[in-house]
Amino acid sequence: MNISNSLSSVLPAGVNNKPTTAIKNSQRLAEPVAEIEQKQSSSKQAKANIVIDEQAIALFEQNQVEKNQAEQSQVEQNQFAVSTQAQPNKDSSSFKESSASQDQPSAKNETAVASYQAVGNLAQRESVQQLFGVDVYA
Amino acid sequence: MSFFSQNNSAHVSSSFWKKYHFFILLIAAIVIKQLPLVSIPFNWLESYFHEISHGIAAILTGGSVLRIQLFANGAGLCTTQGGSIFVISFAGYAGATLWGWGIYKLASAHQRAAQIFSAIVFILLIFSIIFWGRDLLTWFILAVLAIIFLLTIKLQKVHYLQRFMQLFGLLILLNSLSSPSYLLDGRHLGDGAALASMTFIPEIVWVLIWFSLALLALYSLYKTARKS
Repeated sequence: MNISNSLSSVLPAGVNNKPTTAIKNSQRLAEPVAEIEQKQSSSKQAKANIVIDEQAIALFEQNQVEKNQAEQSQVEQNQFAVSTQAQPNKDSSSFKESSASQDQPSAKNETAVASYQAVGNLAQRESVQQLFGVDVYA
Repeated sequence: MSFFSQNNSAHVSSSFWKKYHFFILLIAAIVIKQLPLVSIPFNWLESYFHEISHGIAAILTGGSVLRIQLFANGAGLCTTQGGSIFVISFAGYAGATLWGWGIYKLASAHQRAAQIFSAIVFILLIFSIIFWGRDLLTWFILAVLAIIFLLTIKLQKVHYLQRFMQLFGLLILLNSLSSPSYLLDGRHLGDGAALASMTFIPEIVWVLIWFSLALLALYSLYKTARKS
């Protein structure tokens, strides 16, 4: 009896203890659970945020694609304008070649840049001359 | 008999020189201008008198000269501050003509006058080197011109100095006769273009005025030579 008692005393206590410990444990886990719940809720919010970002990214990508297409079409137009009329039907290979040589500015563009810079220098020179009141005679 | 013949030939050559010395010097100047290397210092001479005329005009009209720049090909630049832009622009070619005419006239007037004028030009060149030259090439060109004038002053026979000065005068005049035509290149640059933009009188009119002035100066020297 003692044993049973002891056992009972022990068992219930043990049984009782276990839940108590379990409860304690649960109580200990109560804060992480709250955190998890918070995290879950925040993750839900994050998911919602990601959805918005994805939309923005999608929009951005769409805009970029449109921009690239516009630029490509402009480059094509320029190339057609610069190229002579002798080759009106350009195939894809020739286009690739021309796009590969995009880095090399055409003579027309170089002339344009040079004339622009010359005008800039003239303006600069005039402004300097006005600033110092200096005249140059040749 | 031989003494008389020698005396007679010397007299004939002297009278020939007196009669035609202007044309002899003019032909010599034209020939020198065609020679590739020999003509270079004389182009510098004309260029210097052109730029110094701009500078003197600037000083006379209340401005100042900041810099004179000469180039090996006979080009030049004069940087001024203040003064009358019209007078300074006009003075370049007109001044060079006046310098050429003046050098010839003074050299013809008297041997002593030629010597003094040569010394004045030498001093002006030294002054230009010190105050207005700012780069090595300009200093070199001005130094070459100063040496030429120093050599003419140092000549033992002043008679030769006279002839050299007359030759220099004619060379400057010939250059001022031809150089305004360089302005007619369609670029609308230089003194003619500056005057045209100021007065609305076309550039060619200014070029013709400078050409006429140089021609008039040459004719004046021819008349003086004929009288003497």
